[in-house]
Amino acid sequence: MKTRKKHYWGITVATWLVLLVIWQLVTSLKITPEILLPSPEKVISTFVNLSKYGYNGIPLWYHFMITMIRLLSAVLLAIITAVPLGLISGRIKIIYSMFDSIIQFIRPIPPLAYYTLLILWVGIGETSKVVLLYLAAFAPIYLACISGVQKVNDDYIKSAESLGATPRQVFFHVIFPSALPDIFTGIRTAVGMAYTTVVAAEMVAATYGIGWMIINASKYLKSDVMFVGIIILGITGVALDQLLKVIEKKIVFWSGKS
Amino acid sequence: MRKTIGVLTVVFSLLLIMTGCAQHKNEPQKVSEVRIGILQVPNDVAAARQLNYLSDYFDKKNIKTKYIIFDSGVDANKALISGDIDFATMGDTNGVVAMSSKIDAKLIWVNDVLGNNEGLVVRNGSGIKSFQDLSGQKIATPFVSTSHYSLMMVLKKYNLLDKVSLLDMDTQDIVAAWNRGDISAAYTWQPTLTPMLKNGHFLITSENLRNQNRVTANITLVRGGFERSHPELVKGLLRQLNRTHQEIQTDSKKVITAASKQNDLGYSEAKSQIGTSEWLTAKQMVDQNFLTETFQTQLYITGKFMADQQTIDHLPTKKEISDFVATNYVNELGDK
Repeated sequence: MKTRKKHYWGITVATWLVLLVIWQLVTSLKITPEILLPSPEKVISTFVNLSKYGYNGIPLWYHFMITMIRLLSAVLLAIITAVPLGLISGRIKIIYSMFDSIIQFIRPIPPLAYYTLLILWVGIGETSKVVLLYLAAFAPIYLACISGVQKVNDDYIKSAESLGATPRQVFFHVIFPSALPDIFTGIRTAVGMAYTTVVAAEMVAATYGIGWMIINASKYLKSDVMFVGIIILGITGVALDQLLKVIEKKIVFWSGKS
Repeated sequence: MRKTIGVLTVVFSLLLIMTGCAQHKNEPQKVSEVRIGILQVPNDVAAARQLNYLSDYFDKKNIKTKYIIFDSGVDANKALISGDIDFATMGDTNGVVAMSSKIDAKLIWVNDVLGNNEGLVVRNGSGIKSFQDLSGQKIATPFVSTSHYSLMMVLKKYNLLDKVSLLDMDTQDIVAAWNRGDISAAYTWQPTLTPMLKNGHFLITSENLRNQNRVTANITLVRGGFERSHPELVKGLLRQLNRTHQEIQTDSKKVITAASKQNDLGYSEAKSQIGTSEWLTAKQMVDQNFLTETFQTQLYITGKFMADQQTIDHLPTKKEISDFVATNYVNELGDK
């Protein structure tokens, strides 16, 4: 079993190597113009230059940090609000009927569709960007919480109650821990949703951020900078998801083992 | 074994797709449609379109004309690269970007030399009275545009480059931000200036800069592949545009009315939006050595400024500029 696993891992690595070789080949044979596909060397040297001198007078790490701060503050805000609301909605029908339809209505709308409206409402500063990401992150967490609560085995609740547990104790000692694995899945989806919206959030009236860097570079047709930005976003996305997986394993170590 | 074949198939199809990207260079001998990227402003293209000069000319050759609106030259440049348009009108700064990034395109025409149809507006009552008052302010402008360039020159002149924060916005977003009160200053062009001038005033216009020998202009680029295979169509199109340049000097009412109709504007609105921008005829361009010398020098100054700001990756040489500007069409038209 173990050797097989290793084998498949090898295929993943090989695929990436093949892609890199093709990329190298296509660019060194000059099959495509450089403006459409810059060579790997060019992308690497651009990355080195950006790290040294920054982009548009602002260091690369600063662009990166600001994007991460926007993303994480939005997700944090979403967790703080969506988890309680979701858990309560899953438990109390009145609250559920009040909020669910609204969230179901907002959920499928592409964030860019209401972004211009958000800018009119809260302006071009950081608020509109964080709110946009927040709206993208809210629904997945909220929905996961509801489904987490509804999945709780009724027997557990009944046994706790028959042992004299107060509703408060039932909620914190039975329902919340049982829903925790679902909440984590929700958070991971939420980070993904917010992450895919980050470039859009930085499209209007931003002056820094990795998303802004990509948009700005595209205006000057600097495809090498665009590649660097996109690769940074890709690697960070994978890293964030892995990090969440590790945290999940630490906190809900019992998940999938019941 | 089957797996290896599978992998190889994927690899080769990827290669095919990638080479496919580069295959759009083969130009068809017969053109059935000419695609023109336009700005939504009352300019010569708008007038020539409304007066049916362009459609009449291309109809005779059984060619359809299709117009695609761009907010600025940024997206027009991308469309030129992908081969989705044949002609594009844009600010000369976008032309410099196109040249320095070696897009296969040529500058063939100067639509208008900018005057007071572009400028830096500040809100009335915002306390901004002189350039020094701009310090610490947010100023909006569409990046890479002629407005952006003009603004940067002004800021540099008054040592304000590090003291203001510049916001990159599309023209419509600028008006929205202005109405909300998010910004008290913006360098932009018509038609967005009109609503802003209702509660604002000019601090400087591109006409002032023109008098200080910092010329900005709207230009027309043609896609390289199209120009090489159909030079006669390029010349034909320019002859129609040149007609409007001749007529605005003899019968300005006719041309401005046409340009206004095309943009759903009133006559006086269009007239004030055209303002003091200059539409040089081919003959005037030839007589003033405009395209062969004056304007190339301005492109060089622009390129140098942009390279200093690191917005383009190298300083375009004079050779690059003279290769980029195809003067033969204007020369032929102007000699007549």
